[in-house]
Amino acid sequence: MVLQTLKIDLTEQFPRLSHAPIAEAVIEMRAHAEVPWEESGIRGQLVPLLPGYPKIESQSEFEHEMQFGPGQDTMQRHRDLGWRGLRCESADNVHMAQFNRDGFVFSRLRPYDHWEQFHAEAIRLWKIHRDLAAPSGIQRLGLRFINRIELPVDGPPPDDYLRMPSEVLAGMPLSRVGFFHRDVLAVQGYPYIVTIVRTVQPIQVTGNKGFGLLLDIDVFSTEPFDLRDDLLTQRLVEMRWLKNKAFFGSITQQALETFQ
Amino acid sequence: MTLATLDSPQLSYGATPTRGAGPEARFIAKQSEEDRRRLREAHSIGLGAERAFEELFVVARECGKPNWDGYGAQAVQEETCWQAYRFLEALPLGIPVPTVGAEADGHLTLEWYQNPVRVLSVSISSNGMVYYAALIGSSKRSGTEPFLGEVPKDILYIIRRVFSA
Repeated sequence: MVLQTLKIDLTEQFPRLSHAPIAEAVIEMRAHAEVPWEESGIRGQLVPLLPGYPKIESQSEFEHEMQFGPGQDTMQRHRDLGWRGLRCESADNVHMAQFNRDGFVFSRLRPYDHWEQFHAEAIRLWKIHRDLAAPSGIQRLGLRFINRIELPVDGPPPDDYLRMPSEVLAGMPLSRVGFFHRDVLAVQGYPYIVTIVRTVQPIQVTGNKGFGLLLDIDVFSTEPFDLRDDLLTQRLVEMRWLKNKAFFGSITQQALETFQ
Repeated sequence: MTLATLDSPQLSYGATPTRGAGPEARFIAKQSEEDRRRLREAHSIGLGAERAFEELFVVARECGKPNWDGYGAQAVQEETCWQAYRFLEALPLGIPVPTVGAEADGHLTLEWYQNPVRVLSVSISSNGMVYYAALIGSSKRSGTEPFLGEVPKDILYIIRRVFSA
């Protein structure tokens, strides 16, 4: 079997979903700050530039669960690695921006509006971060969409919504009560990887949520690139196309009708 | 074709996903970490990865004070140990396990050694910069990369070359 060469077709149109199950959309630029990255200085410069983000918290880096040690019992440790950056949340709690020593992360939580709004805000804040951190390039660009499909407890099975192997064990009529399925897909001819996670989130104690069927699509670049705006735009447009293809290729017709 | 894909360095990608902030992202990260740890703990898959963590623990303990070598070496900082720990964690499952050592300047080294002319040495500093040098036959390669949660592609490529013969 020979893999067909994939061609990213930016003219392709995708259905517009008025009930898209997007729980979080993320754009992340990993790019090391190349200026001193200290809280007082960064906070002082950042706060006046972000009037729409009144909730600002310091982020420290933590490590958990150190488990090694010859001849010793398993150790659990929790350690503060120091100040990493600032996490800023919008007044309506749907936008979250992280300005960190090792890069910038922008998240849009529910309700997701539309790409143009999400993209524009991410780029606006990225430019602020870029001016503050003065990185020399972007090591990794990520575009991630996490979809959460609500499932009633006694409702239809996950494969009514997602394309997935319906029979795990040949000849064994066992019912699936949990799964965590992760694919890592290379995009031939392009510097991208697509990872897709399908899993079930148990019933949430808070928030009145039932089972959640999660479809997590993470597209990211595999090569560093320069800080040129046109390059960044091109990468994001291509990655968005990949994300859309991955989404519509992962859901069933029944799911599509539910989301429209 | 499936096997060819599995043998690709690309398989290493995705160890650290694009970082989300919401509850679903946290749930997926936790599940993923648990699954990966379970696999790594199986010797047949992790290729003894736990051994490297044990070596790191020993080196951290023995080289944590100045002059640990009796010749004025700098102490290995705790931060350097954590950088090395994260680097080991980010190695794809199935990659040969390096030996761990310390240098007089306080850096930690991870070494992949096949024979005297097929060897890679990766030096990890406290600020997350990774310096590498390799000898593969008559070919020499070296470079510097920031470590941002994923093992640099060049280093994975070289590890595979060190053990390809």
